Amino acid sequence: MHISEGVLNPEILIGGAVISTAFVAYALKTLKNEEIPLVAVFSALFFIGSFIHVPIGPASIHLVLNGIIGAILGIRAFLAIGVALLLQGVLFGFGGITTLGVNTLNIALPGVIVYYLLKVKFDNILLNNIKYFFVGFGSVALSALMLSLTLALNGEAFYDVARLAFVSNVPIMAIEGIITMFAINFLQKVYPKVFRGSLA
Amino acid sequence: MRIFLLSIIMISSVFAHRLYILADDDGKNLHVKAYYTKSSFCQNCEVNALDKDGKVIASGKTDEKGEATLPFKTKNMDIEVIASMGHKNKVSYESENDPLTEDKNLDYKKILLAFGILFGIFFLLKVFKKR
Repeated sequence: MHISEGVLNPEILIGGAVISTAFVAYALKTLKNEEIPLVAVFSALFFIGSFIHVPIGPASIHLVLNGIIGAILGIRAFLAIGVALLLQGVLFGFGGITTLGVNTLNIALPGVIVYYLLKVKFDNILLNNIKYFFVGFGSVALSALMLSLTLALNGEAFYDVARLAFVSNVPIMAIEGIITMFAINFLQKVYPKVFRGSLA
Repeated sequence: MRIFLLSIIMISSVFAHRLYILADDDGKNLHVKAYYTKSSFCQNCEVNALDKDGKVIASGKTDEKGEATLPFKTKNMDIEVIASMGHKNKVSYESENDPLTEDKNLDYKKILLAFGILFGIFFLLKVFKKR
């Protein structure tokens, strides 16, 4: 899900950085003091999620968790994911400094979108569970789509890589859908206040 | 004269079956190539990596190209290749790389460092927002 340094054209990097900075600035401005510990915890969760590898055949994929983070934090997901991506880039070489804006946008924006999807109310338990599944599934699918579009925008030479980037993320979409469905159900039982923005 | 010719044939036969070993590593895996001549590889031969006490720390078998990949476990070792018909050779190997296990420990330290920085950033943000 992370785009490495030296891959993208400068205009894409600048565009991504400008849009992400605007979202981060808005999140910072509207951030309440009591919300900061929650943002920090979810930033740490996103950071460590990248180290949890799920073996799929000869390769392995890692968790993204942008669905559950976005569902709880909303626009603040830009802060949590941005800080975690910065540390991953600086300390582990996942992504990088120049691609921080693009990577933050590709991962955090789908999380913010599913935050609003979660506000759609259903009376049926099954429909609610499908919605929770789609929060996880849809956020990774949107991120993978944005990642592929970013790579495709880079030039014709990247079309095959863009296609492969999307296809290789399909298993993680399903895995995250299931994880998110259970996580939302669990959090609703033990700490429903955490969803005060979306589900309340 | 007969003895001389016979000796020459036997010596050339010995050289024709001398087992050569080449080895390299990338810090993760040890790559070994065993061969008799440029075009004759030591196929399906047993390859052992031995520590300084002679204990086998990794082993494997060569493929049709005489190549085998073993896990790289220590910087200094002996590499032994055992072929059929009693052909055998052993070489000492010293690497410039440290085995990957040391890097893994380093990763955990980095993860802890990252957590420290991450919570530090948000603590500063909380202090800043309080004002």
